[in-house]
Amino acid sequence: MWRRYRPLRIISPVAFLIIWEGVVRLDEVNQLIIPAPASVLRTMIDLTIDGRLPWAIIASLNRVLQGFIYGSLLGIVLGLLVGWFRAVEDAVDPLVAATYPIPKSALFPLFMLWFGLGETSKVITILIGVLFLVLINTVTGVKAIDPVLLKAARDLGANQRQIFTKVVIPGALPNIFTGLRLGAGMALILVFITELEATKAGLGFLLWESYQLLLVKQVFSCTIAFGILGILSSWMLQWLERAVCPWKRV
Amino acid sequence: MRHLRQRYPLGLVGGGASAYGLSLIMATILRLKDIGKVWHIERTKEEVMALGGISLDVEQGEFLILVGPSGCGKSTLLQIVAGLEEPGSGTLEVTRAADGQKQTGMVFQEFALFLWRTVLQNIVFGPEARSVPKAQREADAQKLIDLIHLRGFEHRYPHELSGGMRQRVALARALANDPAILLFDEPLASLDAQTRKVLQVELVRIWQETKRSCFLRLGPAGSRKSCRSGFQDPGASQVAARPNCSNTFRSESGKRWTVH
Ligand SMILES: Nc1ncnc2c1ncn2[C@@H]1O[C@H](COP(=O)(O)OP(=O)(O)OP(=O)(O)O)[C@@H](O)[C@H]1O
Ligand SMILES: [Mg+2]
Repeated sequence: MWRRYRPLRIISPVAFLIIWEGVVRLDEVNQLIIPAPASVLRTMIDLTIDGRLPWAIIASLNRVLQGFIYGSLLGIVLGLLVGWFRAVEDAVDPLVAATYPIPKSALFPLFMLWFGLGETSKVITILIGVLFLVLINTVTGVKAIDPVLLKAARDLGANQRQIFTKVVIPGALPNIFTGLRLGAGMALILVFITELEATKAGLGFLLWESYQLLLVKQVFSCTIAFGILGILSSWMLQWLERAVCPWKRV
Repeated sequence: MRHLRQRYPLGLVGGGASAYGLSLIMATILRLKDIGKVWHIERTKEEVMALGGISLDVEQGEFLILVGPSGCGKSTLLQIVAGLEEPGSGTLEVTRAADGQKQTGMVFQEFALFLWRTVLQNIVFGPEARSVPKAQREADAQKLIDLIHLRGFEHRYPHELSGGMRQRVALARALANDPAILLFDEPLASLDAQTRKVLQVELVRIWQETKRSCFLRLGPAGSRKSCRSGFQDPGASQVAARPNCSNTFRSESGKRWTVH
């Protein structure tokens, strides 16, 4: 989509970095707590060259992707069924209502007891977090479909299965993507939390270890890496949404 | 218009027409007996009587117009005829097609286009649902696109169209299914005078060439003063047949109207 070039979008973050760098150089703040951007960048490059940052990212991404993909698929399928079939809604709704408010990070210790200290408990924690968000938004999407569209489909001779595949699913897609975007954010939060325990790999682990050694530049590097992962995931989802929902002006 | 003649062969009659023991020419295709409908609004515990005591026979090839003030139940009646709402009381008989296929096709007041489908994809929805081969249903759709003057807009999405264009797509989508009874809920409301005139002529021509029953619902009855029509209080719909209202809608059957 053609967009008017807006210089402020670039000027503003660059100005922010310059001011930050300047303030730190003037020794106005304690560099041990707030390092200058340039020195953080240098640390990031060092961490990348010695391989610790890339490996940490790979370990975390592995957990995030598994949890996100399984969680989304489950959430979409369940959400479509719950939204469309009364009986499924009656069966699932009370369970969701009862378990949704529990912070997913609070479930992680239980999952470690049940599934061990390995990858499984981490992936499942992420999966559950993503699942709920995608599920709830998918249900909303199905329910938000204009009833007159269902009537129109019926009037044109579509049977129940065709109404489901040709009207309900595409009609719910915009909300499904809202769920996916929220789910991606949740997956990054949860991967961090699960990496505080029982692992020696991952971005969360590296960040936490750096903090304990008071390596503030490394803490910043990891934080920035998390931020970049967040931006990349939202770009990818946007791209996917444009490809899947071309009728929507994203 | 030649393609229309091919698409809608003359003399089509639902297979069950003779069930009434009527001749093919004057086959009753639709029979409403004492139709009533009360809407229950759960939120306010209200009951709205939308329709009461509607009786009507519609014959093959008739052109009927439904008039009445806003909120008197015209849309409700059309939806009942289309089988999309249950009548609260009374009976509805629609002559079945030989293949058991749905006989009615509706153009909704709110257009009800599928936002995620292009113009072409909207038009082929019905044939697609009936598993008409892709090549054939798209070829048919192309003819309809010419009919509604939307050549060049086939691959636009509904939100990229004007209100009148959307309405024309809704019309073409209903026609694509080739229904024996066309139900138009305010079919020409948001069109400019010129396009409306074109489509009026087209509608009449489709109707004349195919001897299909049209069951129209026009805009506010006041806009067509020459129409013989009755008015009633909200809560009772009027059904009026078509005397010579205007040049464009000249009806051959010049029919009685039954109501109440
Ligand atoms: N789904 C519904 N639930 C409850 N009440 C309804 C519903 N649909 C229609 N009604 C009520 O039934 C009555 C008739 O509505 P209907 O839509 O058939 O009117 P109409 O004749 O088509 O009016 P208009 O010319 O404004 O389109 C109205 O009083 C309306 O409030
Ligand atoms: Mg109406």
